[in-house]
Amino acid sequence: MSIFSFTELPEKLERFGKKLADASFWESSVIRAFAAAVAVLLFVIVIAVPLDLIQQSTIGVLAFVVSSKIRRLSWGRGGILIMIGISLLMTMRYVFWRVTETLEFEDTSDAVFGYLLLFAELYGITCLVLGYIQTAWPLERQPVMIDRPVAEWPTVDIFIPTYNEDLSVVRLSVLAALTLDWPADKLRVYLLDDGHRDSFRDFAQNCGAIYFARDNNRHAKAGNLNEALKRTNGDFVAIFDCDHIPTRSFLQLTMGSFLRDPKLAMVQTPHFFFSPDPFERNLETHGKVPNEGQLFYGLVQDGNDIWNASFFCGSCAVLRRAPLEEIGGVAVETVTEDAHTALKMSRLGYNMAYIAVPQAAGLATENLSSHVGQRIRWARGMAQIFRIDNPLFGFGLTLGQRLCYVNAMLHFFYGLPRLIFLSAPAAYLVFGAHVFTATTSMVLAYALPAIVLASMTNSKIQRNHRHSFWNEVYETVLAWYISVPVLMALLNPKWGKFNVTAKGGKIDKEYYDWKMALPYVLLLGLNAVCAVFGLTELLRGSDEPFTALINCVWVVYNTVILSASAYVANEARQIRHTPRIKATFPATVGRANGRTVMCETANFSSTGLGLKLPKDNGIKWEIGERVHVSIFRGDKESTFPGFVQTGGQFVGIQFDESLTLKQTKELAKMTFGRADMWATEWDKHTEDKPLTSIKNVVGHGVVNLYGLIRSGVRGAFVKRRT
Amino acid sequence: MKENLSARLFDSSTVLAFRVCASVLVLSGLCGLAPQAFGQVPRPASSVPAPATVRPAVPASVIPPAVTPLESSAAATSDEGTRMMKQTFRQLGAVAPLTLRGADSRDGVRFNVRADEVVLKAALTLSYGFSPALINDGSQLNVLINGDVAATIPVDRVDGGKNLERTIELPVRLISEYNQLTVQLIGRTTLQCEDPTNNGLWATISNKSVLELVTQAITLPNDLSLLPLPFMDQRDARALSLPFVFVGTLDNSMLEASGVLSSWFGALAGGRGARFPVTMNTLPAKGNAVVMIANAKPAVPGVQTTTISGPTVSVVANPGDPLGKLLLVMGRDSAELKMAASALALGGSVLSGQTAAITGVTQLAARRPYDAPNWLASDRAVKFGELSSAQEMNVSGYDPGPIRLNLRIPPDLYSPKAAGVPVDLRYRYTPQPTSKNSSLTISLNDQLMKSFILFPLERFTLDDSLYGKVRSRLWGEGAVLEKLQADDTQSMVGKLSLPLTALYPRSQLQLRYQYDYIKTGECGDIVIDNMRGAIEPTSTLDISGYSHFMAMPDLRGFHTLGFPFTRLADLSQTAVVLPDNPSLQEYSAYLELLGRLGESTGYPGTAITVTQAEGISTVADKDLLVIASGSNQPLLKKWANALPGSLGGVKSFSLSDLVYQARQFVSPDPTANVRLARSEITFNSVADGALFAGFESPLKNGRSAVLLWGVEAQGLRDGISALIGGEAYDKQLEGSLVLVRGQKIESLVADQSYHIGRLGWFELTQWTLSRNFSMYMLSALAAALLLAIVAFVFLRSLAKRRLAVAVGVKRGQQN
Repeated sequence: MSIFSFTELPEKLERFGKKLADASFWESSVIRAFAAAVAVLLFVIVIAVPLDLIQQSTIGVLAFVVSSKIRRLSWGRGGILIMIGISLLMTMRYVFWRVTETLEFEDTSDAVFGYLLLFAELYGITCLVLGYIQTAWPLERQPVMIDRPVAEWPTVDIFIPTYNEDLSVVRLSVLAALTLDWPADKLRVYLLDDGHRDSFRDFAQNCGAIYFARDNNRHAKAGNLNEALKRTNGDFVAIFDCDHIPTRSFLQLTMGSFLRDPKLAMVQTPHFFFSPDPFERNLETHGKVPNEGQLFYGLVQDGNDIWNASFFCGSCAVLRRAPLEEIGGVAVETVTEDAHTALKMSRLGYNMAYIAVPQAAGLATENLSSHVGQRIRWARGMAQIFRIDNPLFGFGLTLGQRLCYVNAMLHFFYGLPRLIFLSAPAAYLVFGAHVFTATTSMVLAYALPAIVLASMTNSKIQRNHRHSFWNEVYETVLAWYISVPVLMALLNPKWGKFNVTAKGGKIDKEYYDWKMALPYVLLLGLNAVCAVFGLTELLRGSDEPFTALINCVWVVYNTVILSASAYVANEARQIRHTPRIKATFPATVGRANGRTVMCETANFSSTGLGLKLPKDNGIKWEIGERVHVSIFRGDKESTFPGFVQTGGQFVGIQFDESLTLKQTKELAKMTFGRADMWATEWDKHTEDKPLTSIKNVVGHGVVNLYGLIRSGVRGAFVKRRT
Repeated sequence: MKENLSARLFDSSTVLAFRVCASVLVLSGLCGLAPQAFGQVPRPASSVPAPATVRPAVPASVIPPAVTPLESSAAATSDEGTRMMKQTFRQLGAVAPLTLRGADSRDGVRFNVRADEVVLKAALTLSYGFSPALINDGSQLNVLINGDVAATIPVDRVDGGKNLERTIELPVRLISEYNQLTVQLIGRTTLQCEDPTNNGLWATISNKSVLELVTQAITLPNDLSLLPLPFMDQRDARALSLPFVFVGTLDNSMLEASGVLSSWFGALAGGRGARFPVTMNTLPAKGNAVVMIANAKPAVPGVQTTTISGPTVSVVANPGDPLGKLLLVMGRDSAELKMAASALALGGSVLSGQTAAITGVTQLAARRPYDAPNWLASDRAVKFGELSSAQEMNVSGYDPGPIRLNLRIPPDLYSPKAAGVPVDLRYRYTPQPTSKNSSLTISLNDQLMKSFILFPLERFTLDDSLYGKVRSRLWGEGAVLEKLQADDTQSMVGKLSLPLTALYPRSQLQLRYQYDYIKTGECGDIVIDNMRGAIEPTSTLDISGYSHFMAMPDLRGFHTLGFPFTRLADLSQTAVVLPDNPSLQEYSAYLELLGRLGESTGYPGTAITVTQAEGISTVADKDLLVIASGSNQPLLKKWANALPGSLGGVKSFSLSDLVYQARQFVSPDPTANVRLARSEITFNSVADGALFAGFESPLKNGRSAVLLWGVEAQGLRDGISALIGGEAYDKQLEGSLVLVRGQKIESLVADQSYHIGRLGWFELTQWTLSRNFSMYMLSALAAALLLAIVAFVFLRSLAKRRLAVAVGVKRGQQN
């Protein structure tokens, strides 16, 4: 566009835009309402104007050019909002056209396939629009200092519920909770054991935590928490999953807000996982590609915050006791008690806050099946809330809150629509159904700008929180598994059962989880059949070569995403029981010969340390040599006994099994509990580059398809393990 | 005044007669309307001398020379009342020679005989040829009239491949009012098993073959129950020419009454076209006429009339011609006359007896726009059964020719949607045991729309299951099949949509069954003519749901359907503005224009208003049809600015690029058809011809005016002829300014200056933006930016509020 060729134009426009946004007339609510009305009216008219092929293509190209120009400018929130506006325009044009002009089906099979696809599209578009609303303006709330004398600080109860986890998993969490920076007389740590285990009771008594066990296991985690609520009386309740190790600054960062805003009922912080989840491990993307949670905690919760709709995620959060008791404790009606609890408090007019600084870390799910199990639970729970306490209806919520909550729930309904998209090319290629009653060129002219601009805009909004196309893989893997539970929960919220997410295991051998992968192998098969039909049709000379071609391209895309997804089931080996966390802080090693070596840590785990020594240091290490490792935090030093496991430039130290509780607590404080431990590493992925991203996904897809076929062939001869 | 008029009529009659006669001939000959030839038809080159079968009493000289239609009907009914007609097959509708192929094939033409005539003698001069492969034994050509054998012509092998001619006398008793003349070829090339598809089996019948009829006129009783006979006979394929005689003082009401009748007759005459010559107080010497009388004591020369007491209609014999009839429409004043005319036009079929006094015409319910009987209803889905009879939608044979449905569509339909007019087609057919190419082809105005495969029986054994569908997908065997009906006739449902842009105001939907002929080998071919196809009358076509909105002026709409005047079928929103001191030609032009409008709607214009320049202000809220010639219309000077040229003393016309364009294609996008005036030419060499101009009424916005202006009064005839049209005209009226000279139609300017119809504000905005793409792009950008800025301002203040709450207490303490 010629007007953009002037280099100073973007700055001029930016200045003008700022001036316009800062204009004093916006303070008048009448003018704001009027401008909004005009904007919406104009929008609706522009959407509904019929254009011919050339005009629609022109407007599509124009939208792309303008949007990609703005994408490269640093116009901040304004730029994003303009991109959203343009994307919405093209999307809504598509929707209007799709609904008014492409549904004149000529026979029943066309209509069935056509309306199925339309349903999937409308679902996707609803989520897109709600997503824009949700993430248009992340609040970026900063922690607030506590500016009161220590004597006035409120009392806090820390609840750590556990059911069947290993003590080794729970230990560190409890010990770290005990070391939180908070006056000792105002802090109590409760270990809520639904497993009724004596070892846990002994451990709690020894370390200074309070052990609770109840005589039943009703309502699982929610019941466990409610039981504890009855037996305690702190002003605030902080809840940690038993594998979430808090940093010592957790309360310092979160409690300030409560003291400022008496209506504030909850502060949530991100969930951080220091071990790779099955996706990251099996696709080898850990640390390179943002994982699923990154988008939620990096962007969505922060975006929810402006609408006062950040919700409780079950762990790493502080709740004010009074409102929690006002709603009758943690919600027990659904299996996602956390979100439902937040919804109930929101209905009573309490405020929610989200602070995007990770103040605790934990273990990710260990394998795909447990990961899937966890997501099924979330999906079921959200569908249950949607049914029994729909946020669109009922009292007490603002429109923003309703939309954010609804989107949180709708998000988990993606199963069926995604399966439709993955099998849709079959409608034409196999069954010959025309799902659009329009020419292929018109479909492209309307759909392409909508898709491309939505991708571009989301890529701009999600920056480093999510890389393009990876969510396709994440969602595709789960699609099959969550669609049935979601449908069931929608039909009857009582159907289905609760399952606990198992954590802390290890995978001894690489294996392919055929049982998990089966739906994707079948879908891959379907797409292969589509490809055969498509190629047959193209080679035979089709009446509608473009339609066949577009469907073939669609099949290729599906195949890439599906094969990347199916390969997630290829469980990579996970050697260490306790995952190592990369971290660099000063340390010294006191050797048996009395010498001390200055070095820094390379990584650590709950049972050992990796040390990095200067190059060519000439030090000889004996395997099994006893040493004392000192770790420094500021001018504080803690020393732990251990022995050398490996030597060289990188020295592996394993701590003595006989570390005292005090030493373990100290270790937790010096490692997992460091205030800045996770914040420096969390959400520091590179910015999204859609083209690079698709290249990566395609790369994974192609490599994985090969791997999949190979292990499929191998699996046919070797006995299957599930 | 009267004498003057008569003199002028007389002076011009010869010139006029030649031109009209020639035009009617060429016109009707080309369009196959099979008119009476007036003796002007050049004889076919191969025709034999007048056959001996023609009665000497009717010599060739009886056939009158070039005469006006008015005179010709008189001359045709000679003293004995006999008339001889020679019509070629071409005139009877065979555009091409009849080609007969196969062992048993037939083709033919239709001819009718007027109700007031009987056939005395009929002869057929057949010009034909046949294949030299035909053998004498068993081969023959049969001439059938209405299915009965009239003659058999043996086929002699020695004549094979020659152009032969043979005159056959046809038995008169076989001839009725409506007749089908068929030629049948029974062909054999061998005494052994005949292959019915052998391409040596052929014969052709030239369309120059002549059918000769000698008829005797008979006197019909003076009975109103025969109406519209004998004034308008459906059997007569010639253009209707019905003189109007005004008796007494001619005022606007009388003209309005005449307009009602002329539009009625126009509607009855349909595509034949209708001419209405006008005389004052003078009866035509011969033939039929309509006499308009507004006088309590009517004095019609030569006719016995009694004093009347109110609106009266009567049929009497023409005093100058016992075979001719006069339709007397009478009232004591012109208001009563109008009542009589309305009663006649609306209830003509229920009157009986020689004279009927009209005691009252019930106040008619006001007609609604677009409800003309001939037009496709635009407020609901129309069933095919309303457009044609079930009989005509049933066909038989391997290639029975198309089923034709004529559609008249309001020219101003508008839709922003690309999707066309939905057709829900239900059809049945005899499934063949096996076939490859049998199909039902749907065309609109000869443009292919869609073709449905007529699946053979063997395909029905293919299961309807998913497997069947997948199989048909893989091997390309077509679409999904429905279940076979119990009566072995496959009933199918097909959907298609007709693009609105291809749906002309006068359209024809053509549905053609074509069956595959399957050869089964020597001696195995038994032709059983059991192929049937039927379109269910319950099939629908739906033009409801469209808005009425159109860029004007558009003379194409005026030409094809008399739009916008015909929007209301009773013409209640139309005013005809006649010139001051009009001539007979102008009255005639007025009646003929109304005839055209009636032809379009199929309804008499009972609410027409006639006025002159001085009364123009009373009809400000109507669409205006202005008739003028020379400089006799003062409005032309007054409205000079609105008109596309200065007409009158010095003639000047605006011209656009349209003049240089030989356009056949009319773009569906109305803006693409606009050709603005680029130059102006001033001249006064045009001695003849007429001019049509469309413009917005200067009296009221959104009202349309169409001017028919004759350079001289006679020129109006050219204009009317062009409106009636026919094959002689290769162009249509279009644009905003059209010059007609003889049979040449020249569209000079296509300017669109206003719109008629209504769109909702939303549709109107859509329409405006879709016409102006740069404005659309700006609006789109503005919409996105405005939304972004409003969202920005809102979200920024919301964020501020949210964060202020977070630090609220602290602030409170500080302040």
